[in-house]
Parts: sequence; structure tokens; C-alpha cells
Amino acid sequence: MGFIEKNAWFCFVAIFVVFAPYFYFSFQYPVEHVSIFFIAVIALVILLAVFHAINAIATKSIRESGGAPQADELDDQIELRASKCSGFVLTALVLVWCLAAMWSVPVESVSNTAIQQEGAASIDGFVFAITSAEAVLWINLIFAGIVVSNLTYYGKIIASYRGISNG
Amino acid sequence: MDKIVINNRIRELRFLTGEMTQQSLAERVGITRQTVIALEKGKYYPSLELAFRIARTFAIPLEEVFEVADAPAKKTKKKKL
Repeated sequence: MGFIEKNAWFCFVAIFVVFAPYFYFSFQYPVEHVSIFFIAVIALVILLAVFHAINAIATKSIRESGGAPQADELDDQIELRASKCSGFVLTALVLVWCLAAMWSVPVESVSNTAIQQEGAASIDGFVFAITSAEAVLWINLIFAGIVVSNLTYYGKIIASYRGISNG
Repeated sequence: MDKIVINNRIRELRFLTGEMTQQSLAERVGITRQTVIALEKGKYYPSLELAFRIARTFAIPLEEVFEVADAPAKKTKKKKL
């Protein structure tokens, strides 16, 4: 297993280990556990630092030359494909999020201006009602989309290297 | 358009050139060992630049390292009369 593949494995595992419990708690108790976001970020940074250090020590070429091995054209191609794939996933999730937000966020009332201009396409007059718990939930949902996109990126890199090695 | 299949003799040439290891070839050409494995298995087709670098490492022309495989038989549709 090469340095870049091991790196991808470490990032995938670290993101999953940190954010799976984070989203479990944050979706159950959106407001009460806002502070766990900072704990999750710090935990991710520490985990990645430890993993990268282990990877660097375990990689022979780094021990010998002191620098990370140069990525070649195959590595670049795999990274580009993974970026493309995760980009599609992120775009799709953001679109779903936008549609879900449009359907789910309740309109509490319509201001007088909007009633007077009946039939106008403008939504300026609409008053949206959303509690702080819902707001945090929606922010967490789009954040989950970013995390899933990241997992897709590293997952695609791992799958590409596995495909080369096992085929 | 049919996909072109490119075969290579990298594994054979490594053994003919003093049983060169995959790591040694990778270092000479400037790629990773994983890429050499992918090339030998036919999982990856190199860029023109890399193909020339590999051929130059073995000191032979490009076409002696890489060759286009015979095209697989096309599935012909029977014409309806």
C-alpha cells in the first residue's frame, strides 16, 4: 500500500470516527450540543496529526529522504477523478438540501405589502418562522453534506488504488 | 468507437535487464511502484511522455515496449430483411 493510499485511509477513518458520533448527537440534541462541534474539529485535527505522523514513520522513502514521495501521473489522475466524484456528490446534496429547505421551512405569515401586491412573484413579504433548534439542524444537515462529500473523495481514492492492486 | 487495448512488455523487459525490480524501474522513470504494478497489469495506460521514458530506460524503441493488441471481434447486428 502506497503513501497516498494510506493517507486516504487515515483521512477516511478519522473523518468517520469523529463525525459519526458528532452527527448522532447533534441530530438528537441540536441546541444542547452545539459545543461538540469544536470538540469534533479539535479531535479531527489531533487524529489526523497522529495518523500522518504514523504514516510518515512507517513509509520507508520518507525515513530515507525526509520528504513525502512525489505524486506521479496516475496519482494525479486518481485524485482528479475523486475530486470530480465528490464534487458531484456535494452538488447533489446541496440541491437536495435547498429543495428540502424550500418545502420544510414553514411560512408563518405574509406581510401586508405582499397581500397588497397579490400575484406578485416576489417573496419579500413572506415571514419565515424557524426555531433555533431547526436552524442548527439545517446547518448540521448541510455540514453533513460536506462531510459525506469528503468521505466520497477519500473513498474513491481508496477504491481506485484497491482496483489497481487487486485486479 | 472500439476501445484500443494496449499491451506492454514491461515485466518481461525488467527481467531481461538484469532482473530489475519494480521499485528500481519506478525510481529510474520517476513514478511510484504502484504505477509500475498498474502498468504491468494493464490497468493503466501511461501518458506519451511516460511511455517514452520507460522505453528510454530499457534503451529500446517505444513500439518494442508497447503494442496495440488485435482488436476484439465486433458484435455484428443481423440485418432485418
